[in-house]
Amino acid sequence: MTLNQSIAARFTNRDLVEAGQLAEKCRFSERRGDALEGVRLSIFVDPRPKASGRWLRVLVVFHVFGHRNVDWSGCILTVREERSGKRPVAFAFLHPGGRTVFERLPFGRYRLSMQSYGHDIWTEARHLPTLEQIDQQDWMQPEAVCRALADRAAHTIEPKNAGAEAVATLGVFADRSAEMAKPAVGACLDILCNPLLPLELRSSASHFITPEKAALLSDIDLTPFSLHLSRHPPGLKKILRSEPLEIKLYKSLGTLLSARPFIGNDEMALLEVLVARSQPGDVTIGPDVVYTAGGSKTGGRVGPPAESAERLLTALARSGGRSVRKALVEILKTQSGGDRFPAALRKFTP
Amino acid sequence: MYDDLSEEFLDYSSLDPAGCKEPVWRAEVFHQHCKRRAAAAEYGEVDLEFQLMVGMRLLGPEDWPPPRHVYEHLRRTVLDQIPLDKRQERLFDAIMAFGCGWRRGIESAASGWEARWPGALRSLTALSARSVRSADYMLRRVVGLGGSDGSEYKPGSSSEAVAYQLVMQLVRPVDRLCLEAGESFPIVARENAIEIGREVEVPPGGKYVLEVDGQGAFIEIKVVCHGIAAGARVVIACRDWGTEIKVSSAAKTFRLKPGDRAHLCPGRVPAAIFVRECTCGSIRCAERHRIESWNPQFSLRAFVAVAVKGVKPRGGNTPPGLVSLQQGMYYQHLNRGTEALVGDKRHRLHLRLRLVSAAVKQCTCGSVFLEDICPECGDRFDPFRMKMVKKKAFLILEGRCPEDQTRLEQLGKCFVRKGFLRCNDKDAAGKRTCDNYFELTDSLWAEQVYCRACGQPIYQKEELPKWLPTAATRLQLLKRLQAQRRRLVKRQAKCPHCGKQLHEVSLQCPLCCSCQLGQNLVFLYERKPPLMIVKPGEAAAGDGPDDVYGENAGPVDGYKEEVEYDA
Repeated sequence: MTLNQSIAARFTNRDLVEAGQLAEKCRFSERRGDALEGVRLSIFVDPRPKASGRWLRVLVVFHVFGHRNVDWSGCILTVREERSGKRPVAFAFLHPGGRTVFERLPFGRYRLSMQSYGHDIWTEARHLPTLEQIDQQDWMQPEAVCRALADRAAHTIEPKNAGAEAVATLGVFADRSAEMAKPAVGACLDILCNPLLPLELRSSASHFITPEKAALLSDIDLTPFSLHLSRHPPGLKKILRSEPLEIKLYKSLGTLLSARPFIGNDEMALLEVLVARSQPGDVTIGPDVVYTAGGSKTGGRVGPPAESAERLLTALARSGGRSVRKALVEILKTQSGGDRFPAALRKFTP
Repeated sequence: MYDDLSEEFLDYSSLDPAGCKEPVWRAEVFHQHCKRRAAAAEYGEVDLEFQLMVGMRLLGPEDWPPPRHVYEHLRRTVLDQIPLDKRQERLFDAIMAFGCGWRRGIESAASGWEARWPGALRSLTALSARSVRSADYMLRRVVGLGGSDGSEYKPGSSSEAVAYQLVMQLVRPVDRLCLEAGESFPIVARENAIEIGREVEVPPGGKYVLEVDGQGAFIEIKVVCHGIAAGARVVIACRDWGTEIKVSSAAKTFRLKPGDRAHLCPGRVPAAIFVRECTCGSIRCAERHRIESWNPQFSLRAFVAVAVKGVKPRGGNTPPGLVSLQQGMYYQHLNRGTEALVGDKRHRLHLRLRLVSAAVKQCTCGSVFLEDICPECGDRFDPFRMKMVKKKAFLILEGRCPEDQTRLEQLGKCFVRKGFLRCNDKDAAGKRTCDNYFELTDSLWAEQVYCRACGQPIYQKEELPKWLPTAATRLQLLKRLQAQRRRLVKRQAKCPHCGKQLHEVSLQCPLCCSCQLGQNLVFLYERKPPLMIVKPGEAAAGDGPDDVYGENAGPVDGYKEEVEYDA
């Protein structure tokens, strides 16, 4: 496959194809910029040394001829070293208007290339964009960034800390405004529910699913996560082997479910997986915790405030899954706390 | 000479620009080298060949040396085009312009020295960016659309990116539209936009300009074909009421209402149709907005400034300053849409700049204002004492989507289009004395329908619907009501409720009471008051308006607000 063919395969829009081809031809250094013209558009690369020292700030602009509208928001520009650069040195999202800035590049000779979201850029890049860079490129879609970070955590093999770095970045996003925090917490949940990922990574992702953050996800569809868990029984076994992670997983999911006013039938698989994997009597439902053999395995105990636990139990019962109801009845029978909620659950009892 | 110099500059580091912080640093380096050479020369003069080589090394592509024929072409151009007395002054400008395509044809497939030179484009972009920043400074003060805050590359103030796009319009002024025989190019008029082809949308106030060459073309409107001669210019403009298509060769203007469509057809042979990159649509576009038209009598910086910001009017009745902006290329860019951070809370909005005719209030103290209260004397606007006057050229902001428009409304930066009646009262010399504009309010209709004595309606319920629905506009409706009342008065009809005789109620100017009014409505933009009114003392919650207007708070000028603009 030639270079042009491989670029054409990446994009469907003819303008983007040409933009990709022009970007591949661009070369620049601290002394030279570049400007190339094609049939449908042109590209302009303007590197300028920063006043601070040996760093470059590079502006890249695409200009489409004939005032045609091109949506650039799905594209990423990457910078590689001209001679030996297989891995990108830096990458930046394109503004919907067709421009971007590389804020901090060391002096050197570079080439450009353009890719679309979901490509292997996140797994290949040596460094994630810094938070400062992300703030500067504030046109980026938070969903796309967080999805890409989750992908990076899932698929990166080298460097070893790349996944942890991605999760840490997601954690920073989770503390930001709701617009950024919501997809970040969603991405953390994605990592947490992926049985194929290292346990440490999933464990660190679970830290960011706090009750406050879970409230942001009260309207998201949990079906994909539910299916993800239920389709990977070996993975689940692996989870169940790891006690701390198991608790974290259940705690996080319990937090999420507690924050939801109603649990839909399509999300039942998630609950059923959680409940069915445990023996009756082994399950404890706390205020924001659903985990197996709660007191004995954790070595601790969760003291549930009545309101939130009742809310969770009611939500579970109302959702209609038969195995859930059975599990609840067992819980009521075995747990002393069950006496507190008969009124709420009596109507759901089979 | 060529060989010696090309070898001398083989190592680019001899021209190392390190340490030069001026944006157009290449000019600085060029002049430094020329001075050094002149100091070493026998008669203190520097030879042209040396200067050309330095300029080419600084502005040209990285491959060195340049082809001899390019060097010779540049040398010949400089000798032919630049007068001897201006040669030293304009030499670097000429090399830069030549690199961008001045006095040489550049093919689309060209590369290296045959194509546009990257360094020349960078330098020209730096020149253009200065003009963009200067225009931003004006705009920030006038409409609250601001620009750079000193940091050039921040996306929040990317003057350089806009400047490059304007430079590309300057150096590559037309784009060929590929239309085969039998193909057609649809032009669809929409509500507040024009769709041209599949990929172009022209916003209100915007234009799209085509040049037809070769054997001409046709434009099909409502199944009728109109010929367009070769060499004609077709200006497609989006107006408030629909679409206007002007064909220069036929001196014809076609109008499309929203929903109508036209087709541009090449005829039997493939048409040579070109899209103009600059959408100002003016007759003098070619001489102002193309690098090819640069005259070395003037500096390139001045030429670029005029192209970007527009020319200043020479006088007459046109207001000074910003009215020229519409003739520049930057206005067209802002009209197509831009992102701006507006308000104290820095809301990121997608906005358009428009030049419209606006209605402003004129107090008896002489001050002109947009709000309800005169900022000079504090009097509330009273249509019986104060005038509403027309501002011919007024820059306003419009949101590109309803959310942006609502936010603008909250900030008090929203304008709405309204119909006004104009007082045509004239003195003996035929000069307008009043020239007041007043709105067509419901009270004007009520006066025609109710009895003045008892305040009861003079028509039966079943009478009105007979002839009211046939009125197309509000003005027509008012005129019909007036004519009907006149007929009743002529018949000496009496009020069915109180039995008193009816009197004619004529339409008159509320200020001068003259009945000489314009025949048609004049549509002007009027500032809309902020969406939410927060009284003093009440806390503005969450995302409320940034400007706080209270009954006793006095006038607040929303335009004084600091606004940061991102193109």
